[in-house]
Amino acid sequence: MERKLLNVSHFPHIRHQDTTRSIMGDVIIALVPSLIWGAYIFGVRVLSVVAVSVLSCVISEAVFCLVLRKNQTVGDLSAVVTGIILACTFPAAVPLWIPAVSGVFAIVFVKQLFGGIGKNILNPAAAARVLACLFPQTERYSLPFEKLPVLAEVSPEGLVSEAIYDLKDGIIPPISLFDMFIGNSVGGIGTVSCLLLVAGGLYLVVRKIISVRIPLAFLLSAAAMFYLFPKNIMTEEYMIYHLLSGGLVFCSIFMATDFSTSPMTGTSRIIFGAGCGVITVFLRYMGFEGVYTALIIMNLSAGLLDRITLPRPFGKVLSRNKKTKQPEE
Amino acid sequence: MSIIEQNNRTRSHSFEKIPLPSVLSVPLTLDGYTATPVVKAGDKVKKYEKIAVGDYIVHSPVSGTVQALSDEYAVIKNDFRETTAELIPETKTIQELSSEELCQRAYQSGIWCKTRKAPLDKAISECAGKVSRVIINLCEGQPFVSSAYRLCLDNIDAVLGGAKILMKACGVRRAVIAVDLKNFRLIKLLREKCGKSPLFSIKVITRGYPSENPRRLVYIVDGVESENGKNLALQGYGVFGARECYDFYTAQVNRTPSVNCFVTAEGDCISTPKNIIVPIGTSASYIAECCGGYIKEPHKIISGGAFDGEALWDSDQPVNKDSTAVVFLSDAYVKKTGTACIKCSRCVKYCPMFLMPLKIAEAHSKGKTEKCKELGAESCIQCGICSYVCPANITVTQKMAQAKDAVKNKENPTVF
Repeated sequence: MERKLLNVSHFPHIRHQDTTRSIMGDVIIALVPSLIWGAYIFGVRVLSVVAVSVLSCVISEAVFCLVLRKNQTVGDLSAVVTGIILACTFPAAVPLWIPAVSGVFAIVFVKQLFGGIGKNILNPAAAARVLACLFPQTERYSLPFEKLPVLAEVSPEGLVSEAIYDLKDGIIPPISLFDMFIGNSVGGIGTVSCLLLVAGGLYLVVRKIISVRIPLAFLLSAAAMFYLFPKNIMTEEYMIYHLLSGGLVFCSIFMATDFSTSPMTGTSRIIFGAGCGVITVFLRYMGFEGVYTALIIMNLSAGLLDRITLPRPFGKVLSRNKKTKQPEE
Repeated sequence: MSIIEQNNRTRSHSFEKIPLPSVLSVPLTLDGYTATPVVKAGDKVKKYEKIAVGDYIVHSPVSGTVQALSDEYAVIKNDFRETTAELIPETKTIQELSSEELCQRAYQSGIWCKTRKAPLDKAISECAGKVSRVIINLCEGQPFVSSAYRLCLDNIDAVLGGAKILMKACGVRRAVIAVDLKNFRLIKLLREKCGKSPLFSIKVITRGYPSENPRRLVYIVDGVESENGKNLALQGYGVFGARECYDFYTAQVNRTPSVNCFVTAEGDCISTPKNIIVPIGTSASYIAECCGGYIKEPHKIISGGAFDGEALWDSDQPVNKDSTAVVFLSDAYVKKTGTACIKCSRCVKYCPMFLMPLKIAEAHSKGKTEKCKELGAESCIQCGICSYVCPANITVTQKMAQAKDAVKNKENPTVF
């Protein structure tokens, strides 16, 4: 009789259905509402910024893998996510060469040179955004519902600065808090609507892709700092304007929770988020766009935080105590 | 809430007997324990007759002729006459028996303790007089498996009776019955049967798999962290499962040795999943035939649960005394794509032993055994959760097993 051999393997024999690609796909799904809102409020140019950024990330990843003869990793969608997150942080009036250059920098220098997915130390999108801050052309914000050319460069006349620049001088900006919350204000194309960002974040939490610890610790610590050290007499209002402006909500939900650059244990995640919040406030008071810089500073400490908050393995300390007492027979 | 998706179609199916197979290859080894044959090829054996004696005793599950013998298997051809060997009479009642006599009874009946992964008499003699707490483990959290749940539901009196005998053998007056929250029918039944009994207290476990692991169970029930590499009995805990209780009860009351297996036959390759009683030595392919045959080509056949079971390399391999399930999986269950570790830290989140599996696996692949020890590789109980949740499809559990072995070998080098 013919004997047919079966497949054998180490257990477990079944796997959870989530894959790297499905997780990245979920992140994209969570970002889509904010992007649609951005396209509605700032015009079609938003889509060309996103397209340029995503294409630059994907092409540089594909070319890098080809040149170094590594396995092609474009399929896991992580480069697409980096591209979309990077694009979200730019204003709609940004010259298109800036997302292109930043995308290449994010993928080649920040991600792939450190070993690719899961091995990078800095968040690629945050690092690239900080690089883009060096170009003065980056910070060109347009008013909502202003007509912008789809591809051509936007003339710098008529462009404004973000609400955050008023806040830095201790002035409450001339926009209502409600408009700030739903996103009818000046800002990055994907970071402007806090409402939709929180909705996307809740989707990710429900799908068990991110934990709430980092965003909560980030926002709460930033809120506490703004409340304790205000530059304005209207403390609460000033604090809420600060929280809703800039990329704070976006960065805490979508960038600080990046897997490979955030710590892994529960305690270290809280410390990480709180650290991001505190540094953000410092940098904002010093006059920089603080969120992304704060994030890459804390990225550097993620490994250290993991090391000092190692969970105690089950039954380990007990056995060490026993050894010092008496040897077992 | 557990992340594991339950896929149990057999929870509402009572155990049924299947027609006996014509040829059985009865295994003579189990988990490192061996039994030496006491019959010769060509001998006629009766049902319940001893065919091998050693660390534990193997009885013939049917009457028939021994066709072939090897160190590992005794092949018996069934004559379907069901002539039964004489059973050892018992004169004393349970109350009169001493712990040693009960141990001897467990040995003579060939009962296997699945929880301790040893013969039951060994497990009892370890516990007798030393343990202060006995936990009856009725948890079963793995997908596909429902044999312990159905065994308890169908034979609750036998299981509780067996638990009482075990408590007597261990010299303990009270026992905790640990039962999964999802088995609410069983909880209700247990409350009816022994809700007011001074002998038992019922503990409902809400954590899901791997609650059935004895070390984990002791932690959940009492909050006590057992030590690595030390017998639970020496730390005051005796943990026994439903099968041991049931087998001990039938051995004591009906005088029949343990020759049958209570297994769940499940998987997407067979048309009618069932809970069945089969004699040990029945091949996996025969079980598949009894459950309606294959509807898909099986990719893997697993003896035990899908989480910690062993994949069989051949569909003719038999069930053994410790089998709880035979699962026939098609290649639809194979996760085909994998990436590098993305540090999602799901393995850290779900590890029941509070380890960092991804760091241990990484340290082991770099050859840093010291670091593995520092990170607590020895504490791993090999539950399989880390591989299960990994989105990058990394075989974390396997790497953890290697790291654990490496740490053990470094401390006590074994010479081959």
